[in-house]
Amino acid sequence: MPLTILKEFLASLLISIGFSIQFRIKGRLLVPAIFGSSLGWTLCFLYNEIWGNIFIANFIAGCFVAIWSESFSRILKTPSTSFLILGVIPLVPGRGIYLTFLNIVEGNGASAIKSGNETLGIALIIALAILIINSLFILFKQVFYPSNS
Amino acid sequence: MQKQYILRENVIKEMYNKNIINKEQIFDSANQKSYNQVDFSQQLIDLCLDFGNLMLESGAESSRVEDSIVRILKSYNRKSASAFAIPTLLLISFKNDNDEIITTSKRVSYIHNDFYKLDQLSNLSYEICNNENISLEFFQKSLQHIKVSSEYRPFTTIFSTIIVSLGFIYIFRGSLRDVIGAILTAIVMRSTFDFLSRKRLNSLFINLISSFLGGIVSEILFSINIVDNPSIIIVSTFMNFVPGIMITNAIRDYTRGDYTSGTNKLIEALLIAISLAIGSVFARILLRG
Repeated sequence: MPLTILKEFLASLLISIGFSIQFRIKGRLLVPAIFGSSLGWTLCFLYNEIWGNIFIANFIAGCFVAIWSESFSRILKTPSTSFLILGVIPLVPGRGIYLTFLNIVEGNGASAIKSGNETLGIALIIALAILIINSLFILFKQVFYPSNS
Repeated sequence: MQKQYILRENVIKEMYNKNIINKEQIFDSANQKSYNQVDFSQQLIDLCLDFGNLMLESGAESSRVEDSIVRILKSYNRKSASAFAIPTLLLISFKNDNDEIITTSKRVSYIHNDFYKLDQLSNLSYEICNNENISLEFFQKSLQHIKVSSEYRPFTTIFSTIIVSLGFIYIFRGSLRDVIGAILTAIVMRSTFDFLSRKRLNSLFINLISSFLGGIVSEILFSINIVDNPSIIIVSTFMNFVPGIMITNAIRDYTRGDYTSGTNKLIEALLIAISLAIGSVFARILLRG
């Protein structure tokens, strides 16, 4: 089990390095961005392995990524967008989209609905996580530093 | 007048080192007063338009663009400054000292993602807002400097696509034989995508065609028995093209109440994802019947 987790971590590290090249994240942003992304995916995998609920797993990973990116954007004084996007990308249910359309075209209505539901649920729950954390950060900012806003 | 000048790892330091600017050019209140007031406003709004355009192009969300522009205008003491940005349009207006409204707009058509540029731009706006009387000359030179920052060669993007696909092959539990298929599919998809992107075609068409060709390649490899799971190969390659940036930015726009630009991006992201899926599914249906 620890070996599997390590392998997942390394695979997601590979993914985030690749995406950081595509999105031109470099310099001081690189290390926090790729580690946030791969830790987020590892967290999602771990939760899913132990408790077996893919939605809650994605929710927790989304929250982690959002908190990570908001914190590092304040530490490094840079837009949080770069961290957030790199972190969210491994979580995006690309496989679900593909399977849904494959099932639709092949005429398996029941499987299409099942995978479509799951895809939509994961996408919405990641969105919800980001939305909640982002709003909480804005709220904290307005409560503790009201002059800046 | 000399405020504390913060040298961070950013554009300005780089420009110092390359001798593009010297320190006298950064703060000169004398130069600003010598401007005709109208000329100054015109130049300022042009620079702000350029700034906002670059920011939108490099993948910032609308509220960030609006905030930065308004803050820059306020730091130059412009009254009733306002900015409006959606992914395809940028509008800026303010009043100059004679209470004349100056306004301008720009249609933004091309969005690519460059977070290094975005970081530099946000540093620049930070410098401008935290120091009084930054000269327009400095503003302009920094923008020029940021604009020409390096582009990657085609080989680098193809290499990064391959890396990402290999990572996803492991995560989706593909076999070892799928690796070679993933490399070939990634090369085909990325080169098609880059080639068509340079022609500035419709992004839906670009995604449809590149995922279709990728699907064809992986299905052919499957039919001559080189790979085991063509669908895993397809999925792990097309994760490269999934519009994660648009989805994330759309959510962040919704958080700030920018429903226009949020919906704009969300619909585009949804259509791109659908066209990717349809392209590869169509390839599969075509070759397997």
